Amino acid sequence: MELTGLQIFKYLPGAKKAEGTNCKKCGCPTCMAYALKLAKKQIGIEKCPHIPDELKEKFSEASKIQQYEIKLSNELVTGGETVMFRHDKTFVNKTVIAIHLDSDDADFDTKLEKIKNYHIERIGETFKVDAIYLTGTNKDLARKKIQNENIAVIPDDSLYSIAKGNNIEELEQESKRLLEQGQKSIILELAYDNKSTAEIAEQLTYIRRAAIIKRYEPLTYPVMVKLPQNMDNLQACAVASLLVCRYANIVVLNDFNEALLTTLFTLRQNIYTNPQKPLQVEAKIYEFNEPDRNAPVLLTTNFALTYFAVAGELESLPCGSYLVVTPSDGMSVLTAWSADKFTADLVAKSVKDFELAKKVDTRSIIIPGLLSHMKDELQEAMPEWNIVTGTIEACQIPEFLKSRESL
Amino acid sequence: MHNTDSYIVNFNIKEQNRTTSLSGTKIGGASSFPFMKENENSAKPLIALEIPYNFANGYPDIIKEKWQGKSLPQILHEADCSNADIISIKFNVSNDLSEKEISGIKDFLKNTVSKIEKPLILRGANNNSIDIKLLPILAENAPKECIIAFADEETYEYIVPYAAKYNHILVLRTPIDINLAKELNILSIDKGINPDRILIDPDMGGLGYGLDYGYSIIEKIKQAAFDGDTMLNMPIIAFIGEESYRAKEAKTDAFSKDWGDFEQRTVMWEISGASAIISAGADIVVLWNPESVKVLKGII
Ligand code: B12
Ligand code: SF4
Repeated sequence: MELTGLQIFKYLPGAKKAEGTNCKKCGCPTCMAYALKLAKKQIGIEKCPHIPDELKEKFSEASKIQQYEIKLSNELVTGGETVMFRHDKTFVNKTVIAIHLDSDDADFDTKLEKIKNYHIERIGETFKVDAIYLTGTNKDLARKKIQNENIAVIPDDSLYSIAKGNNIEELEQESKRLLEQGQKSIILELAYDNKSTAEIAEQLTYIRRAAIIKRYEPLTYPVMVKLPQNMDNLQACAVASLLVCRYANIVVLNDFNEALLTTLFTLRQNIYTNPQKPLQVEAKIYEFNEPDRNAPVLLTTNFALTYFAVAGELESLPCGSYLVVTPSDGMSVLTAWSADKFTADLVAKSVKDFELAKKVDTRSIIIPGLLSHMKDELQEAMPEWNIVTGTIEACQIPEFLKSRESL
Repeated sequence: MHNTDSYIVNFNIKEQNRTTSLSGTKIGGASSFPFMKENENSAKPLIALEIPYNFANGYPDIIKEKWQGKSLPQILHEADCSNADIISIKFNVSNDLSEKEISGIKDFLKNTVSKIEKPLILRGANNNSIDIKLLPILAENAPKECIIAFADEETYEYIVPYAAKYNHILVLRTPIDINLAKELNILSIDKGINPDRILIDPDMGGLGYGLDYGYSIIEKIKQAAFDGDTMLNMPIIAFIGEESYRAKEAKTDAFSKDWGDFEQRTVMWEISGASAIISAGADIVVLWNPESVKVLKGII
């Protein structure tokens, strides 16, 4: 737990009116000022000669790492988490999704090719397979074949050691042994074996608590779990989803399956977004497929999810279009409307500020179907524009525009 | 013996979640997050399979195809024989409930629903003006004690008295906000429902469409309950099936090859969202695809 300024102040002479109160030896005008700076780490704890041992201890405890960040390749790190629940702050390094390849597999090359080629984009993030978990006797050759900036190979002795164990006790023992040998960079690999889903989730939770809450060094390392070989893709989906939420830093899948990857990456994207800051895009006018001055104009909010849902459709059209994105604090259409972040005044102001009228000859603006109840209000606020109610769902936009064209 | 005290952290709870019971099936009672031995005495997360009263009204083809060629009583019978813990029926009627429609629903409850052996959720049309009329009818004519879903800020005054009178469990829905959930619980209890007969519905979004917000609200509600808030310690229900199938990824095939086989993706979309919110602490998840029910039952 990080200490707040007030909590620190309680230990200082100033709080107890004891000797040294506001003596300024630390360079601050008062004990309180020092406490506030110390909490923000703008000053060192050694600057005040009157710090009691108890506070020093608390401080050294609080400065211990909760979970080490381990490098898996030049591009990829794992671990580094600081909270048990995403709403406490945010999760930091996205769960690494790896796929198991056996270097002795006759189909190694084909499988590798598929993995390398897979990539999709969703809400501005590129999803690709992060790592390959390599086994078999032919590893050196396999490694050469994989060689790809974007894909890490696990294990990698030059970067970390792997502590394997069947449960938290064994992992602790093995990790301790590695620490005693002077290893500093460790990944804990929890064996799945015949454990039930509940058992695996419980072990992972205990390991994460030991790291985050106890800062118990042997367990303050990222944890890897490989799914059992005998799971089909649907079971793998259920279990891997659970592992993304419940504290696996690296999940190793046995099969390459695009649907499974797409699903897991989407879940990971959800769980790892910063809950204090919704993903948003810049509020402005976006252009798709080189629109001419008569191309249709649509309007939406700046929530990334909303923007990309609409943008995806507009990109796929054979014709050009404009999308006016209003500054709505990263809220979806209805959320923004109910929080007064999408008002007729704001829309009118955006359209004016972005100088839409100079860009296009069209005088129609298509609004989200979910806001049909705002049509009159918008029409009144922007009399020079013709407000048209669009479809409820973004995926209906292409059809909607087509039917308007033929009018 | 190896000493594990130096690193095992047990969860510190003040209060166990409320437990409720539906025809002998225990719901809730959590004393920690799922899958932990600390949570041993709670009910397991329950998986409900939802069947619509009217498939033509708003259901994706992929779900319709699962049941194609079968009558509603046949479908319900099959659902009853599946490994789902609970059967949910969504009365997705869209008209303004004529006398004829009402008597049709009453007949259906009496002749078909009454044959279902598993515990039941009877769910309205998700349209306030219909639901204030429909849910009282469902409550009054239900063949046994059921979960009635759902009342919200605007409808609870009309619905709570009926749920209470016929001793049903009532789902209270609020939009992803812990304070609103608590407030609606208090208001509904004032209106006469027993706090042990409430389920909280955080109205969450599906995978990729705001799941994160609902996920965190579930975790927050659980934490508040464990800390002793007796107005938030009711079991949590989430209609994740319906939310999953709102997603373009789960209901249309308009994606490139790398997005994966559509049939697989559509099931996975529901499974993944359900798996995630079960781990967050949802006590009942309501699904649409019988295949996801099978898979989730297998791993829980
Ligand atoms: C996640 C969520 C939240 C999140 C915020 C998410 C965010 N960043 O916006 C949180 C938890 C913060 C939240 C808060 C609130 N929420 Co809210 N929330 C939702 C939820 C579950 C999902 C919204 C979402 O992300 N949708 C996905 C995006 C992509 O959808 P979208 O923006 O509408 O875009 C789609 C279409 O509109 C279309 N589209 C978009 N733009 C355009 C443009 C054109 C031209 C066209 C044709 C189409 C189109 O394409 C998209 C894909 O199809 C919905 C319920 C639901 N299941 O939808 C409630 C919902 C929107 N929330 C609601 C409410 C009431 C609130 C609160 C006011 C609750 C409260 N009292 O505190 C607050 C308001 C915010 C505040 N004061 O802080 C209500 C709104 C009611 C209403 N009818 O207006 C809803 C509908 C829930 C409900 N059923 O009551 N919410
Ligand atoms: S040196 Fe210590 S005691 Fe003196 S003013 Fe600074 S904080 Fe207070």
